[in-house]
Amino acid sequence: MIRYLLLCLVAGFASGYFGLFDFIVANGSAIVNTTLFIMMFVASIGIGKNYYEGKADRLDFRILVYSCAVVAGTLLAAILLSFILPLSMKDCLVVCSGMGWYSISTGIVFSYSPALSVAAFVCCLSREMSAMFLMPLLWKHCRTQELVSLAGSATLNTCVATATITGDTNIVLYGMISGTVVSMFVPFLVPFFTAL
Amino acid sequence: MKFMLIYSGIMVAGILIGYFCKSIPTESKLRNMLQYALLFILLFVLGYQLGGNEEVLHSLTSMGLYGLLFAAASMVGSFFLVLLARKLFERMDITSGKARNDEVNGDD
Repeated sequence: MIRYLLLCLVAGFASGYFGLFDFIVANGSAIVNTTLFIMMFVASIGIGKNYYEGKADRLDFRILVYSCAVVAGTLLAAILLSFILPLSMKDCLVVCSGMGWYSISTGIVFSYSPALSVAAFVCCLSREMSAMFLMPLLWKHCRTQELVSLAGSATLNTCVATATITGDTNIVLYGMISGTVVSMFVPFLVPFFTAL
Repeated sequence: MKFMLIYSGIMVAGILIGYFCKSIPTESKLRNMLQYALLFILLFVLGYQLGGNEEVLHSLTSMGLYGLLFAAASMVGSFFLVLLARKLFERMDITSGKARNDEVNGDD
C-alpha cells in the first residue's frame, strides 16, 4: 500500500512540475482541507464505535508529558545539529522550532532570514511527509506515543493516513490532542528564538 | 486556530455519531474505500503543490538539504525522548504496583 501512496505522491509532484491541472493550483488548499474534513469525520465514527465497544484507548495526563517530550526532543536535536552544521545554535533552534507547522514558522522566520525560512519550510514539510509514510511502516513495531512524536505538530494528515492504512482509529484522537499541544508551543518558540 | 476548532468539532460529531448510532457497522468496507480514495487525492494534491512550487524546487539543492537534515534530526530526537518518557512511566508503574496494558500496536 505504501508503494501506491508513494506513487500517488510522485504522480502529483510530476503533474505539478509540468502544470497539468491548473485548477489544483487555485483550489489546492480547499481540496486538502475538504479531504481532511471528510477523512477526519469518517475516522471519528470509528473512534466512537471503539468507545461504544470499550476498545478505545484511555487518555490521561501523560499525553501532555509526551507532547512536551516531542518539543524538547526537537529542540535537543537542533542543539546537537548546531555542533555539526555551519550554522549557529540560534539558527538551528529557529529552523526546528516550527515542529512541522510550515505556514506559521516559514512566515515568522522569513522576517528574520529569508534563507533560513526556506530551510524551515523544507524541514516542516519533509517532517510531515516522512511521518506520513513512516508511521504506517513502523506501526507494528512501535507504540502510538512514539509514532505520533514523529509528526510533531503536523499530526492531522499523518494520523488520518495511518488510521486509513492500519485501521487503528485511536491514533487519530491521540494525534489530535498531541498535535494541538505541540502546536501551542510554535507561536511562542519561533518568535522567541528569532528574538534571542 | 480556526481550522483546529473545525477539526475538533468534526471529530466530536463523528465520535458521537459512531457512539450513538447503532445502525452504523464497526467495520465498513465502504468507509475504508472512501478513506483510501481520499488519501490518494490528498497525497496527489500535496505532491502537486510541491511539484508546482518553484521556491521548493530551487530550495531542494541549497538550504533544502539542511531542512531535510533538520527534519530527520527532529524526528529522531522527539522519538527517543518520548520513548524515554514512556519507559520512565512504565518503571514508575512497576514500582508503584500499577500494571498498564500498553501493548505494541497490532499485538492483539
